[in-house]
Amino acid sequence: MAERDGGLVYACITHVPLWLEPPPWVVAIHLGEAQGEGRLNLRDLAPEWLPHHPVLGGTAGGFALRRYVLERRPDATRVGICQYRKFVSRRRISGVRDPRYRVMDVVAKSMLAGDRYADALWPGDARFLVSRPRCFTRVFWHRRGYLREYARDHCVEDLLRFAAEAVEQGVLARRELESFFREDVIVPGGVELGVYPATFWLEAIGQIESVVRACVTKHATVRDAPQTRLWSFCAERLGSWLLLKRFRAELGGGLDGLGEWLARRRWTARFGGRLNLVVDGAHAGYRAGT
Amino acid sequence: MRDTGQGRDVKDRSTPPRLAYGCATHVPLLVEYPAFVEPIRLGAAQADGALNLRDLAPEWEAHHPILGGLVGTFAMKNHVLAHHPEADRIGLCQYRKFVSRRRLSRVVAPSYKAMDVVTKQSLSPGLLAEAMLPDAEWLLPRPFLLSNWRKHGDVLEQYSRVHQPQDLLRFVAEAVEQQLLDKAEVPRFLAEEVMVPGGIELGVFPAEFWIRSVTAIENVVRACVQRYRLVREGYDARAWGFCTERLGSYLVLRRLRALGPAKPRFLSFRHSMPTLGPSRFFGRLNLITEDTVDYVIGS
Repeated sequence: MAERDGGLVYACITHVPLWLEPPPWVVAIHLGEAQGEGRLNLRDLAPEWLPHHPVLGGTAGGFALRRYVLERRPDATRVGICQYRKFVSRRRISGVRDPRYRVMDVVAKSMLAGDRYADALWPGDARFLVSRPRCFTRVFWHRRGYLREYARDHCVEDLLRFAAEAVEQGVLARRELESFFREDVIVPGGVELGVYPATFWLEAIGQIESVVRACVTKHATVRDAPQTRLWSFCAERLGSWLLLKRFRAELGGGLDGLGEWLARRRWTARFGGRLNLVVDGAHAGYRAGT
Repeated sequence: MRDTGQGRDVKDRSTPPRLAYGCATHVPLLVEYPAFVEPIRLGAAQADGALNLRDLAPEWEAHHPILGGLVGTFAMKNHVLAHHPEADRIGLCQYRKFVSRRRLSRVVAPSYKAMDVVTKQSLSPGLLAEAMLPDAEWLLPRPFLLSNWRKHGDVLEQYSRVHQPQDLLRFVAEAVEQQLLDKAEVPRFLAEEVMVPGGIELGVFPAEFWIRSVTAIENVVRACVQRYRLVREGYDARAWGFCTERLGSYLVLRRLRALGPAKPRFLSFRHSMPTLGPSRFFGRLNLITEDTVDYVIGS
């Protein structure tokens, strides 16, 4: 399949031994204890982020992949990312929704034996292949949005500080903040799960990296599980917002009501795949932060 | 009537023994405030024998240039705790801004319509004493709506339009960390459409509310100045002061709403001012000028 698109750089980020053998066109980027001689390691690609792996989780792998693409694959036209147990496929594989996180399907490891994993990962010729979006609001009179949802599930001061740095660095415009906080649609994984045009992805992950750098420099915040990966949660929201801006610029939308709904249907049909969680054995439901 | 020691008489009812009233100033006062108003002197206005910032709150003296009159509020809090522990109401004015129970002029500041412009010649000591004395436990500038029928407005929208919003976000993050704001309150605060000008720095407040609020805000400001070496030019140099006004306003609104039964929102017109308390709680913010000139926010 690699011959079909030499410009696709696809990486699997992992901090544990890989559950599934990746196809030859997928490189593995190792974090934490999974690092080893002869591998693509965080400590070699982006040593700056090594001490911050606990607060960043897989996001540190995204930064390492950026270095890898810039230094070794400047010819890349598309960049794909999956994680050791999460990936985006073009079609549904199992049809079994996660009971706690219904935008994601649960796939038994045994269903991906042999070539099936490679087939499921292959993005075809899609410029973007991202998870189908999720809306926070359940009832129209109680709009949720990124800020309200974050305040409910995480430590809101982290998102406030993260957004402040994003404004300071011009990643978010001053007048964009309100829309960012009120945004009701999230693309799970942001720019860290799926396939993206290389130019878009390099710019987006570069912006996120510089915001995260400012955050870890100013705030030595350490939180217990499940809030450990605080800056990664924030990076997911910002990545999702950058994606939505891009989709809306291409296909319209961004307004409330029917116009936004129609535009979302358009870009979901064109770019939306299915987010999958690989499980091995009994699974009670996904918990954010695990 | 009794002699205040300032060469003029004030009615006994005008000097309530349990009201502590301070006036933060960094210049010689423009008018003679009533005898119950104690000047809290900042910057070059400090003098031997006066109530000085350097004596009342020395830790804030170095931050006066970026915090402006806010340091006077912190000094006033320390002054009240040390010298007026019996006070049940605290009043604050500034060298050229004060809250009166009624309108003293009909000249609205063109760029800040919540405030009237009053010439200093029109303010006699007797008039000021009568107008500044509260007849309730609150005397606040009349709140205004940030939204109108043409556009939506709220704390974040308005702050983003006129200042650097990253300062407000950092300030709110500290307020959450210090549990002054609950994390679920943050969206509500940033989406607040009502604003009380001056927050907790202009008007008269119940002492227990004011002391607790100012102490909490002082802790937030302390964390901010320690964590962020904020250097902004001109207008936004006093960022933490602007943030304090918004948070102070929210704390006042939160308290007022807790005092009385809330009117269901669906019974209000979308852009009508909600009822926040008895009308005697609300007066008028005034700006003293040499002449009727326009007001520049942050000046």
